[in-house]
Amino acid sequence: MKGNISFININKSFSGKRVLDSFNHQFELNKVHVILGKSGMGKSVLLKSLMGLIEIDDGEILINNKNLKDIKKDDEFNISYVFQFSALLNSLSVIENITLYLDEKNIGTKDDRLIKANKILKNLGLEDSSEKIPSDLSGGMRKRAAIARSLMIEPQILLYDEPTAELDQINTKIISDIILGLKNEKEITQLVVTHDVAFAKSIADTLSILDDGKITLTTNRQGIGGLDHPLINPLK
Amino acid sequence: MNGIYNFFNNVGKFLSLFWETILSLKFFSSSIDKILSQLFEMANRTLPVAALISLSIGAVLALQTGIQLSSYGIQDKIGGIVGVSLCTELAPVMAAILMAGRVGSSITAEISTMSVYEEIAALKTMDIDPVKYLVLPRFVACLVALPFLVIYMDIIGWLGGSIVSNLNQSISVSFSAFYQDLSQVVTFADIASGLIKAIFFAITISITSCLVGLITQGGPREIGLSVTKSVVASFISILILDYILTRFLILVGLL
Repeated sequence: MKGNISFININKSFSGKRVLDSFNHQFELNKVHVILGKSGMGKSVLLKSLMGLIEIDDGEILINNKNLKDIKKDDEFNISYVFQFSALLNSLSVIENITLYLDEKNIGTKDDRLIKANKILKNLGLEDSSEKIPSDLSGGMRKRAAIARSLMIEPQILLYDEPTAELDQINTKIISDIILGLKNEKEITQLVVTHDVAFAKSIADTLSILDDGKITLTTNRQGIGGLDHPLINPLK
Repeated sequence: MNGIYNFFNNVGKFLSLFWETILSLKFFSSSIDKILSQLFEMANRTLPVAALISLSIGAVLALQTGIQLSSYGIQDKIGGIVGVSLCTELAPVMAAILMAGRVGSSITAEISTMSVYEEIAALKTMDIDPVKYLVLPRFVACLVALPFLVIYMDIIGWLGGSIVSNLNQSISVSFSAFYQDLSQVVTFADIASGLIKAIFFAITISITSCLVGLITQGGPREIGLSVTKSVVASFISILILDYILTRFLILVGLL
C-alpha cells in the first residue's frame, strides 16, 4: 500500500515544558523509519501520540490523508507498539501474553489462536519459552516476546520504542534481523525510535534526527553513510 | 484549599470508575473465569484469618458482656447480645477491614505495578479496556465475597461466644440456651443490615483499590506509597460509611 503518515503542526507539552514543538513530518508507508535523538527529546511521546496513548495538545496526525481518530474508529489500520521495557503481563505465561488480544476479542477458535501464536513464537526463536512467565526470560527474549505479541494483531504499522535498550550486541543483531525480516516479508510500516546509532544505521530506510521537539535532519538509506551530525559522529 | 480540591477530585475519579465498572457489567459472562479466579484468591487470603478474628471477637464479647450480665442474673440473654452485635456491626466492619488489608492492598499492589511497568498501556494498545479486564473481575468478586465473609464471620463469632459462655464458670450458659436466645433475638433484618453494609463496603474497597492502582505513576517507591494510600483510604471510608449506613438503616426501620 502506498501513502504516508503525516504529522502536521503537532504540539505537546508536559508541565509547561514543550516536548513536541510544531512538529511536522511525513513517513512513507511500508518502510523502516528510524528517529534518532537523545533522551528527553520527545521520541517516545511522538510514538505514543501515534498510538493514541497520549493526547496531543494541538495539530493533526493523518494516515493517507485521513485523521487518526477516524481511522481508529473505522478500524482501518492496525497499529501496534513494542514498549521499551516490553510491558508483558507478568501474571500470564508468554503464550497467554501472545494470544491475549485474540482471546479478549474472541477472534477464532482457541486452537487457531494457539497455532498462530506458536508459529510467530517459532519464527522469533521462542518456541521453547511459551509456557514461561515473562520475568523468567532474558531481556532479549522479553523483547522478542513483546514483538510477537504485537505481530498477533497483524499490524500495518508497528512502532518500536527503544527496542535495543539494555540489550547486548547479539540481541541487538537479533532485533535488527527481525525488523529487516518483517520488512521483506510483510507490507508493514515500522517506526523505530532509538539512540543506538549503529542499530539505526543497520535497519533504516530513512533516518531522522529529533532535537528539541523538531526533526532537524532527514536522510534516506543512501545518505546515511555521509551524514554529518554530532549525534552520528560524536568524535568528529 | 489544595486538600479540598484533591478530595473532590478523588471522589470524582472514584464515581467515574464506579460508573465505568457498572457499564462494563455487560461483559460479565465473558469474565466469569477471571471472577472465579479472583474469588478463589480472595477466599484463600481471608478465610483463615477471618475465622481467627471472628472466633476471638465472639469469645471476648461473650466474656465481657456475660460477666456483667451474670452480676444482674440475666446471663441467659447473652446469645441475643452476641448475635446482634456480631451480625449488625462487628462482623461487617471487621470483614471489611480484613478485606481492605488483605485483598485491597494486593489489588493495589498488582495494578499499580502494572501501571508503573506500562502493562496497562500495553493493554490499551491492544484495545483491551483495563476496566473490563482488571476492575470488573475484582469488583464482582469483592461484591460476592464480602457478604459471604460476613455470614462466615457471624457463624464463627457466634460459635466463639457460645463456647466461652458455656465454659466460663461465671457465665455458665449452655449451648442450647445460648442459641435459643440468639434465634429469638436475631432477626432476618439484623442479618440483612449486615449484608447491606457488606455490599457498600465491597464497592468502596474494590473501586478504591483499583483506582489507586490505575493512577499510580513513577517507580517502585510509588507502588509502596499507593498500597498504603489505598488501605488508609479504604479504612477511613469504611468507618465513615458504617456510621452513615447505620443511621440510614435505623431510619428505614431495619435496625
